[in-house]
Amino acid sequence: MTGTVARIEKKNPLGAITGFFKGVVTDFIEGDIFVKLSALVMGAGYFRRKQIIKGIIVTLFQAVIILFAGGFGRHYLSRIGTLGSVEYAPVFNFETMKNEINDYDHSFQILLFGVVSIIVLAVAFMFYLRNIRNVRALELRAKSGLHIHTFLDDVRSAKDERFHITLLTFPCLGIVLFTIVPLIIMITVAFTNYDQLHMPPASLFTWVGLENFKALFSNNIASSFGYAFGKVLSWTLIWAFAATFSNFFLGIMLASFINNAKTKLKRVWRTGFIVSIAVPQFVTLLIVRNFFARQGIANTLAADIGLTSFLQNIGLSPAHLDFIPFLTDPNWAKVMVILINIWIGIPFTMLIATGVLMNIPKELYESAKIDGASPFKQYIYITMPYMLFVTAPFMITQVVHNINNFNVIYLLTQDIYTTTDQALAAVNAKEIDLLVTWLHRLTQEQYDYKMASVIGIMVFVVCAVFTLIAFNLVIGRNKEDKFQL
Amino acid sequence: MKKRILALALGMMMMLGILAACGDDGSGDATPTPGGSAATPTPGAVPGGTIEDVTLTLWGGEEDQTMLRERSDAFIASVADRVNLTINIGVESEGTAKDTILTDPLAAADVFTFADDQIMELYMAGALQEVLLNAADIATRNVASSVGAATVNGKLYAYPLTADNGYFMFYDSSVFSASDVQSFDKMMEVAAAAGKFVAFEMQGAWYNIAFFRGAGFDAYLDDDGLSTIININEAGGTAVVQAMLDIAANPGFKALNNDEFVTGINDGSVVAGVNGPWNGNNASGAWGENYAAAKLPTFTVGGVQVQMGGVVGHKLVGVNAFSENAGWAMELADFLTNQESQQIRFELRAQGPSNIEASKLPEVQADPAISALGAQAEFSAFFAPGGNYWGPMGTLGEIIVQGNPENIPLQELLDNTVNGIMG
Amino acid sequence: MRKYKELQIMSLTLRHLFLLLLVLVWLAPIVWLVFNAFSEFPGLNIRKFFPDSYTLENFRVLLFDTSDTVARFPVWFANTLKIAIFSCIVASSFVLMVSYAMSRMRFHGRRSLMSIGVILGLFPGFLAMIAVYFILRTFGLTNNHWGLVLIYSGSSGLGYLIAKGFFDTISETLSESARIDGATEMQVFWFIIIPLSKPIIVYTVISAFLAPWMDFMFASIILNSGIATDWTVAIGLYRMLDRSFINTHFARFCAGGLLISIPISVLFVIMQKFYVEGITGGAVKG
Repeated sequence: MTGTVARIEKKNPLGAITGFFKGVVTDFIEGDIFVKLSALVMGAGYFRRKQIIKGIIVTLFQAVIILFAGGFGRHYLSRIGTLGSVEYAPVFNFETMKNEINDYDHSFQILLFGVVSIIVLAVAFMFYLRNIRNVRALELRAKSGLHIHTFLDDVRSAKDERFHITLLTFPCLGIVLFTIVPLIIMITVAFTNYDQLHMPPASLFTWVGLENFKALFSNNIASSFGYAFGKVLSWTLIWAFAATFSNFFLGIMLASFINNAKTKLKRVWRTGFIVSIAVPQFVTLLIVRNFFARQGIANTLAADIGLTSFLQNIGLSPAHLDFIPFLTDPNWAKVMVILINIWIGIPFTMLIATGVLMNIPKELYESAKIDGASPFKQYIYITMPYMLFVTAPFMITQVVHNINNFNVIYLLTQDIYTTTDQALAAVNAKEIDLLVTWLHRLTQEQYDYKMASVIGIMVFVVCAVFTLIAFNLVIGRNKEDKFQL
Repeated sequence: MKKRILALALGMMMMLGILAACGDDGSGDATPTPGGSAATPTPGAVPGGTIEDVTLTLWGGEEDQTMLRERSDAFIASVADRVNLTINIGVESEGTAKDTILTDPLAAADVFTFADDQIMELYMAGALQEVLLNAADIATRNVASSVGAATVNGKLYAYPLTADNGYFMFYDSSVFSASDVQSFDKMMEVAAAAGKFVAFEMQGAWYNIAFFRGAGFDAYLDDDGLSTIININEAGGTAVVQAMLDIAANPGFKALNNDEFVTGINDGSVVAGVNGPWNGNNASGAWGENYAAAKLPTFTVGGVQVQMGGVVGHKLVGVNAFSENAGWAMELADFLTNQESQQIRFELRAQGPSNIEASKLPEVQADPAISALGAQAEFSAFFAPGGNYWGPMGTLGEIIVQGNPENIPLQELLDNTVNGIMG
Repeated sequence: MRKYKELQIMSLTLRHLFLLLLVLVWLAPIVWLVFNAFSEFPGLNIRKFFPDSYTLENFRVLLFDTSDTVARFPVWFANTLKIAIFSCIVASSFVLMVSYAMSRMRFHGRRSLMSIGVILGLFPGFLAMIAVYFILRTFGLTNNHWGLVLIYSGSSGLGYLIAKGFFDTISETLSESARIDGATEMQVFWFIIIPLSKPIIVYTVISAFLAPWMDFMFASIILNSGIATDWTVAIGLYRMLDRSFINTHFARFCAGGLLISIPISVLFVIMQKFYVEGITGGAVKG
């Protein structure tokens, strides 16, 4: 029944949509009275074909939607244009000892439930149109004397050819509720003036169009957002690549080093590295942060062995400080977070790499040996390409993960790192910030939700551009099916 | 066809959820106050009626938890004839109360303690309930500065709790004499000679204003209630920065934050430092009999000795304007800040009372931290700049601590700071 | 000949010395954690790597002393365990369900769903958190452990890639012959594929179980009542290192960190074997 539509769909999504609507209209015109009636009462067509249970469910659905649209939907959708107009105004009642509160508007709630209403009504409308097509198809089946599915048939197919729907319903619902709806909300916040001066419930916020994006791309005295964005973005990208590739190459080196036939006690070495994974990351990070504190044990040890003065003499550590600013100087901190990230990440890479290395066909190395290739050459020409090939998708997701790697930066530098760049300080950014940690500070400390949302959107754009390029470079489109036997 | 069940299930689930939300909305959105519109007088305030059940949440500093529990229980007993009260106590330090409350005032505690510099932001967010019960008594029984700190636009919005939220000079009297601590230069000289340090959190924006205030500069809140006015880049400002740079470079000086200061006095490397009364117990623990405190010293600006300015700070108790039981919350806040509670707070936690009677007690007057703050008071003032002050001013401090490594002209340093703060 | 042997011994020694050095670097912070957990000095010892004196007091306070309102370790442990068990059940079923559908079934819209999954993964999760908080609050699920369970498991379907990779490697012939014998897709999933997927199930279950033990960001946003008995282990330990507590609680923090590391490392050792199998299995066969 959807044959033609499906074919169009593959060619061109726009054609698919117009095709769908055209189909609805033709079905409605050509259908019998029950098809037409089901535009009014959605279950009508099913009742006619004795699909009673389905008919009841669909009609109930329609009733619920109508109730929803009339009550909840109307309440919020009528206010979404302004995001509310009645301010919060409590009056204390001395007799009841309680505040009496007026029927005030909560801008964020209006935005949230307005968006939810739009989504629900849109889904319901699509379902309503689809329903007309289904009922018409049913009519055609009945006319050509084909078997009409009973409710039991439907249940059975949910376990078999439509099993994927059974499997996917709840996970998808969870994703819609906990990822998609929240993301849409926060994207819309980027077009409002939701900040500390306009914070519900006490005050209202409203739409401002593209103002916030203009602020991000402008760079003037009043707002250094543009400057800070450029700085933070470039460090985010440097960090993401440095963190990913350092872990990758060093992890593989370590794995091949341990796996080398000459290494004794392989298990012992491996366990030594793995122990550090066993402690939860936030515990190790907090430990390491105190380890490298300005007045921390690492500085005491460094001073004792003369490292501090040595570094000062060669100009690597500021001479006027009596400590090494491991996590407080911009350059030191950047190097340190990458090193600490190596410390955290290598055991993981080593684990994976060990598994993959063991699977590299031995013949490759043997023939290389016969050709007289040195171990180094073997590493460059066999190990690395093989690893790259196998782990490329993993690497791409790692880069995206590192762009959003909140924990390492936050736990290592929050509260102890002070920027020395006034332009950054004015917009609450720091040299060491990734876009996500900046976003976090803007929401949790400055309540600047509008700019945080703008930055969130920019993070997405950066990740999306990177992923698109990387996937096109590394992976062909239909490789996935080749991996399957 | 295939999408149908998915769509149906999706729609139905959403419906159910949203209906639930809708039901909640009817009563929850408009009125978090049961009985708000109904005119029936609640017996809560009327003795003789049925006794209402009320639950309140109270936030206080971690160190105060035991004391708050005891005082809350005393309050519950005192109002037992009028209300059946349950009080849950949560941990939220005075310094960070604002951050948690502003994230979601509706979820915040009914009664909370906070430092007075947060009052404007809390007020702007509508999170503070105006004091409507017993306000006149509260205003007269506390010292004027604390009442001023709790007042916004002529109305009282919080209950003064302590009058000691400022800083002064801690020192080890076995190292310094009482005359040494009159001058920062002398102190650093003595400390350097002993191979020890004088600590000051120069990178902290709450502390480093002391240098500028001493030289006649200031930062204060604009009329809009959120932005800051600061004048440190006017003529003479660079001399203060130079003075701070000189101090930062002195071998007898270390710029330590609060926990580094405590670590330092514990391990003996720090023999004096500017910090607040909350570290009184730590200092007397480390230095014992030799623990002493004094007003802030003078420092050298352009060859002249200048007295450092300071901060007269208070801790306040606020009632959440979104509390469902604002009345009982007000009574609890009143009780927690009365003379008896403040005296107990002083005895157990060594915090200086804002209550006039309590602050006159001889044992309060004899406390080194409180008398040091008292001596500093004439050079100090209330300090509550806007939220945008802290970042840039901290950065200025950090640049100075690092010795201005990029050699930015001092006037430019100050201009940048002021631009960052005033936008 | 002898020279060659000497050279070889030297290179062997060097190789192992180098490894020893690396392992020491990797273990140093962990060793520091362990020793501090037994330290008699409650704060941060910045003068010496090893503590001056040892005690079990930190563990005693952590486990049995309820007067310290900052450290309610047993309650946190119970809270986290509860959250972990429930979110583990939901999250692992979601992951397995989605990955099976995406790997073994071919249906209209599968590719688009997978692309949507990839796109959603590109947004910073924290951004959504503010809205999620308000959604949960509407249902009265903030300050509530069930709300946290929903956060950890709600979107877990997005993390299906590794399990899908594993399912991709299971031979199609088995399920094909089962289908010829009249098995429904559900029976194939339940009786053929699931029994063959032990490694990936163990991996999925354990990693879902571990998430609540590691996360403090989402937990601290949802559990914002300030009441210590509501917290999870991660929030509790994190709060112990607040500026005002670090000088009294650092050793206790280390003790707590050590205590939760023990069960976690046991689980991890079990998981890592399957983790490697799961992650590499698919790719290698291709």
